[in-house]
Amino acid sequence: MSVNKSLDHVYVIPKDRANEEIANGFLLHDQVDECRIQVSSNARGWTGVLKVFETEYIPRLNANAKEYVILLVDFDGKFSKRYQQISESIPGNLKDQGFVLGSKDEPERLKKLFKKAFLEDIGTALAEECYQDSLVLWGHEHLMHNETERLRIARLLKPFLFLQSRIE
Amino acid sequence: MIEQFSIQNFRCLESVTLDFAGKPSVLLLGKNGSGKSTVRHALAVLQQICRGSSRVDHLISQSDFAFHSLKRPIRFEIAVVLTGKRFVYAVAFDWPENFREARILQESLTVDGQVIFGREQAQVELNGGSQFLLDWHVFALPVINEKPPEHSIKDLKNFLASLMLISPIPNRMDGFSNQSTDELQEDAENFASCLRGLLEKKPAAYSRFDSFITSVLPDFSSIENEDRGKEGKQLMVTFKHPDADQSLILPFEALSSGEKCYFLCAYLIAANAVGIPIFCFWDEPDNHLSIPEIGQFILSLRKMAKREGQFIATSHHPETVRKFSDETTLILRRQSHLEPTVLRYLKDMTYNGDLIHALIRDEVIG
Repeated sequence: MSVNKSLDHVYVIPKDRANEEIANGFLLHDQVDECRIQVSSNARGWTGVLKVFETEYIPRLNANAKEYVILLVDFDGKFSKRYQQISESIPGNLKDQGFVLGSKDEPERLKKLFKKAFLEDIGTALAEECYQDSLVLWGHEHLMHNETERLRIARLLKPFLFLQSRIE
Repeated sequence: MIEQFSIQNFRCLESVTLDFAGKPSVLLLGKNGSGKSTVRHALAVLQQICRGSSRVDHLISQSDFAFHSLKRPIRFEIAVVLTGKRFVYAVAFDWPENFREARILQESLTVDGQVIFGREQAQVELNGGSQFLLDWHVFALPVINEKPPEHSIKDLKNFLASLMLISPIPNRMDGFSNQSTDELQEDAENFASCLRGLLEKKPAAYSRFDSFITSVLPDFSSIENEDRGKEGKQLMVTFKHPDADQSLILPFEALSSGEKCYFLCAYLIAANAVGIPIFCFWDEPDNHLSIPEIGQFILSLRKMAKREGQFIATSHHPETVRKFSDETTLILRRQSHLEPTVLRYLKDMTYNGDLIHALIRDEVIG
């Protein structure tokens, strides 16, 4: 029941407990295939995400073209600078296997902004929007900076992440 | 769905209310002896009442009274929402001096706030004012029914009887059945009878059962009930090599403990998928699983719960803890054997840094 490494699959490295809960919520969406995506333990800070990615995942990505990684952070209001710092950690040959996503500020703020009781519910709602190709939450000012990455995810990950839309 | 469950003076639980409203899945987290499994035992009292245990002495003993004090009555109150109706059933027990068994002190049922029956010791009063006497060691709920075609009270009793309150012992799950049932035992020993019952009643469940097992055991091909004697059946599991025309047929008992837990999980998910509302309290569902399997296993059960089911877990495993949120993690704390357990959701507590590290440092549950 762990991810099937012989098929396309993705790991999520969450920055902290809040991002971990959003990621778990994404997996709780009815159509997400939990055999294709796994949330790693939270890395305790964005520098921790970089460290885990560099030491544990880069060797894996080099060895398996069917593996993808999402670095899930929040940008603390400094999107351009932080995004650049994180995306630069992804080697050129692995750019198609690495993704950087996150909210503009603390994810806790999203609960009030999106009128959701739990962070998990936000993750599930984001999965639903990915599944339905809609952009209500993804288009919100606290998430809209992810648009380039969202489109890459739709192109590269969506074909195997969802049970009903799978193309194999 | 169980919205709320209040327990008073039952073992280490002196006065607690578990609030599950809006939370299809909840993790109970606490040290050994904090009362996690006691919640399951308390629910089992209500389950057993509805499974036909009509007498108190089968369900309540002196050691069940908090701190062995017979002066304070045990009381349970459960609020359940089924098909849009809210049921509240309450029952209290005392143990008067010179009695050889506990006595029912009070018992009541309301539906959407309307009293169906109330009871003080032996005196039962129905909605409308009619009264009758009942042995105070015998429960009233099993004998209370509505006039047909109303069936909501029957639905409640069926729901409580079908609660899956499990702490599986895979070695006892042998794959043999001589009847079908939908009442899973605590140790899951009668798993084969339950699966047989599900597939007889809802054959469409096999499709979901098969897809779950195939996702965890890719070489799984099928499961069949072979005849054994007049009424008996034996579960046989077939595995197939994906690239060759080879297969291996094993009796269910030959599977590993963890694999048996997959089949149990598949049974719950399949039953839920065909419209049977599953309430599952699983004591340490990660017990027999390897580390990489735990997270997805827990998420599968949580996913099931989101489809009009309910899943309550207890655990000590970090992987399980990580798969629940602070809002869905209920902490049980007890300072000593002489003090009662206190409940709080993790979201209402503070801890430093990473949750697992805080748990190891004894900051949260200590």
